[in-house]
Amino acid sequence: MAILPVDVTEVASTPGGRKRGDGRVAVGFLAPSMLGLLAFTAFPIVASLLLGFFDWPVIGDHAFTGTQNYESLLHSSEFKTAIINTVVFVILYVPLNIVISLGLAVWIGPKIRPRGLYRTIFFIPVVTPVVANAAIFSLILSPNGLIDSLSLTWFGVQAPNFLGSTTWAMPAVVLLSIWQGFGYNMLVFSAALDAVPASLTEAATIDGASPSARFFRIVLPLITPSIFFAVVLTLISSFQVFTQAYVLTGGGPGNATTTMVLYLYEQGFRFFNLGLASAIAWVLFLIILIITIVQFIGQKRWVHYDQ
Amino acid sequence: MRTSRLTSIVSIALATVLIAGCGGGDSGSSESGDKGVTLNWFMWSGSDVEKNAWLHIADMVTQKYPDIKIRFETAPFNDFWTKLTTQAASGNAPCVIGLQGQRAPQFGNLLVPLDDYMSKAGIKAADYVPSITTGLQYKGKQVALPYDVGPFVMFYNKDAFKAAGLKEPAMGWTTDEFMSDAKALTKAPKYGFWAQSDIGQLLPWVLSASGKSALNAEGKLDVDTPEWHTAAQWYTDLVSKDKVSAQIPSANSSSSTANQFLAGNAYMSLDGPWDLINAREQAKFKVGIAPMPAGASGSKTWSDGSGFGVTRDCKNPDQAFKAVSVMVGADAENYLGKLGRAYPALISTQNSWYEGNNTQDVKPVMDYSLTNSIPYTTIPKWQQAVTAFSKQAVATYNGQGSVNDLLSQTQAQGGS
Amino acid sequence: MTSDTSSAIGTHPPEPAVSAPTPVIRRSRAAVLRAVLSQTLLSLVALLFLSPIIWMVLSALKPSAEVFTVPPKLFGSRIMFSNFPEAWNYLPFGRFIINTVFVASVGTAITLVASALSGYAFARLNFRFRGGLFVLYLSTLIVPQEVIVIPMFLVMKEIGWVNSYQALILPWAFTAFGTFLLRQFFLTVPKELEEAAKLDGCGHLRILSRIFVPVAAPAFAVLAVFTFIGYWNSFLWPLITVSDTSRMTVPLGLQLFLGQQGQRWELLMAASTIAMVPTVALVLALQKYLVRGIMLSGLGGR
Repeated sequence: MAILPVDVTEVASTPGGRKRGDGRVAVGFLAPSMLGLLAFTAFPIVASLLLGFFDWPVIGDHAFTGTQNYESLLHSSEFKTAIINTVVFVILYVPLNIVISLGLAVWIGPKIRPRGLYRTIFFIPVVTPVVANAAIFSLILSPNGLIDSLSLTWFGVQAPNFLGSTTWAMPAVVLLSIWQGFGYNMLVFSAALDAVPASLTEAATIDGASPSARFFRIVLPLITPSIFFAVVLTLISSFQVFTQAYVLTGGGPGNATTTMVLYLYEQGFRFFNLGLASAIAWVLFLIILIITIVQFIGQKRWVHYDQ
Repeated sequence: MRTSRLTSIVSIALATVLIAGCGGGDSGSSESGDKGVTLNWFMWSGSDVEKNAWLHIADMVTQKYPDIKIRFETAPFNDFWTKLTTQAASGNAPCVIGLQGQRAPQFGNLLVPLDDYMSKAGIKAADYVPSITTGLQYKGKQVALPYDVGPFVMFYNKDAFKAAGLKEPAMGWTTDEFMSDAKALTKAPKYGFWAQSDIGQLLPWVLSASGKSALNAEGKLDVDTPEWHTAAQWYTDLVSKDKVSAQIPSANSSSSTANQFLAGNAYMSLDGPWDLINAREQAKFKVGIAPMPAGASGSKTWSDGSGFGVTRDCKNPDQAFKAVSVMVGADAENYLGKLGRAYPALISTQNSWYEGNNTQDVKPVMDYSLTNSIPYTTIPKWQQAVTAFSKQAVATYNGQGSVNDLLSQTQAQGGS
Repeated sequence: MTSDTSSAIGTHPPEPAVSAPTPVIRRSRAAVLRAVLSQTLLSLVALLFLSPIIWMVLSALKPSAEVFTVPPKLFGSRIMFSNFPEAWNYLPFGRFIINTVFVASVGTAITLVASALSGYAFARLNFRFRGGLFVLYLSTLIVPQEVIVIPMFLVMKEIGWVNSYQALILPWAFTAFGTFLLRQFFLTVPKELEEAAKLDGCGHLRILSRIFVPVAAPAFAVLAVFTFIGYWNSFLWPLITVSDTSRMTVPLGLQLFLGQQGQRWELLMAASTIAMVPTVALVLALQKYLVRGIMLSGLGGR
């Protein structure tokens, strides 16, 4: 692995080399990741872009169809439903994820013992296989499952048929996603909170600021960069939501939990319209790209990088 | 200028790879040594026991034809088709593949017609159960030879029937008797019957009530019909009006009727004989099977099975056919039948299944149901149709959508 | 929620709570009570949170037909410890675990090396198009995996890597995420540290390995854990590229329990429990570095 052009880098980086630029060294340093990204990410991306302009069934003739795939998406009511479902998921999932992960990160403060254990506990679902997580949730959420039975014994009420109801299926998918996903952000926020200088909050305590004022006026602004980071990455991943819906509800009932990537998967891997699937991918890509750019533009208004 | 040149270079490069990728595979089979060949055989499997059964079959091939070696490739059943399609999309399909009858219209194009090979080798289609040989045809040609077959039948919990003082379902029982039994058995949270959102679960009821299948005489999907409406409404009522079946939990495998039946949560469910031996091993009660209850059109059901075919990507089709002929031959069928892995499609070997698994008691039901079954014929866009169906059926059966939604959406997906 | 903890939040990470017990803090019993309450409540929340996992383990101990028993019971009619060996022998599960550990470890190692090099280049080297190239790197993060799987399979087929370890490892070893994470960290390393080394005539590679790597250990821990988990849980790609049980990974193997003939839920649960052990152990072991690593790499703080 370490078969890097050592000589080149050593020579090129003699004092003074920096002023001329480190182009040649940079080539050496970037070569592994760049070649890897080109071969295994960039090339397939371009290929999928091209596929989007073809009718590309699994067996039979491939034909160039121009923008036909995109046009049929434009007129597909199912694709519209998939977009709406995805947006609903994002709107429910992202704020809840951020609030819960931030809340728990604050809660598992220095007074809690043992902190490491608690952090690990909340991280466990991140590392368990998704297949297993979904299997458990379907056992728990089904009629006559754990929740339904407990609700019947304790309150005498039947719980909703979570996965089989058009109203409850999406909240169930969100629940599973949050349960197995917020551990990442919690760790990010834990780290950010640990890095807030004690002197600042102590000073505020002496000035008589209430705990909540201390948190919202001092601590929160200081960790806005990490909140920004978490929001950006969580948004990207939540637009790509797939596995949770696929294994828990199969996209149903009706089309209640058919998200964009699930729709893509159905078209691409079940019906094998490779061209149409690629077109979906590119619509998704553009949506995420635009939202990410908007976030980067908007961050100046609320993210505090100064200290 | 620069970008346009770049684009053209990239697209040429891409086209080369993509088109090359679709031309033909050399990885489906390869020469090994001076005269022998190694054939890739792709087949689904679950447990190690199941996999070893297939490996044993592969050994049988090599024993008979020492110059043919088999390389066994496998995937879980639910994901088998995803993988097969990916391989096919890149012109990389294995030489010999497993094929389910209902998938024949989807994958038939991938496979070599076997009729000439069969007549040369003296293999007669008539030796196999007719419904599955028909099921494994594509455009009138035999594209795979069957190893197993099974009619969809009613599984029932003998202990529950006894406890409720009911007569066990027998040959010639009717839909009305089914309904009154189901009502008598249902005491929530235990149900007389277990409904599921697959189209295959509804189809036998439509057949028995009206004689109509999912396809019309021209072989096109035809489910938005009065017959289907009536049957689907009746089935929906089982869940939301008569409440002899639980609400449908979801459209994924966890709601599988087999699990609920085995757990004793439902006393009747439609299933295939391929689940019978496992059910009898796992269940804490006695498991019986009965034919479909007779409706206005009698007791009708569908049967499906699987077989093996040779792909067009295969470089050694002659040897591949030889291998297939062993895999569905008498020795292999006797072995699979005795093991309980398959109810043999080769009629002369079916006794091995009854004798090897102490299932002689179900022989009359099996024979009757097989005779009264139609092949599970489908269409190329079957996956589109059944995906739409099973998703919408969850909502409709649970009372959150109409039968009209269900059938018109299914028709729209698979019709065009 | 924040109660009194914020006063101590800022103390430095590894042993934060040891902030001096000043008279100011020695307040009423109410504060103590609140702390006890907070701790107890948190334990309850954690228990509730873990209940699905606990349910998984309990289900793994039930006889086959009782996973779906209505109403659900904590324990089946018998405690089936034998489900664990049975799950292990039902499939070559040991093989799956060895495969996954191998793939995840090698993949993680390659990711760490490649990301360190490129992260260093973006953080410390001056070259043309650096900004633009970096944005290009980042934009690859936005592409869903499902998009590139099919063309990727074509590539694998062309180079003859189908059903190989390389195919499982390499496509995901060059991630923009790793580059991004390590660049963020490297930017926070004081320039003085390397200036001294430079005067000693050290090249960039040596600066990276002698100075940045040791200082960045926590960031590497974060990247290692995240990458390892990514490989460990990956499903779609192994499904498409692996064609026999000798190369199968754990998530793929788990699917085999829900086969065509007889779904064995109790074995699925037992196998899932077994599969949890290595990753939970890894996280537990690296937990301390994880939080520090996120903090220092500028992802958490700044």
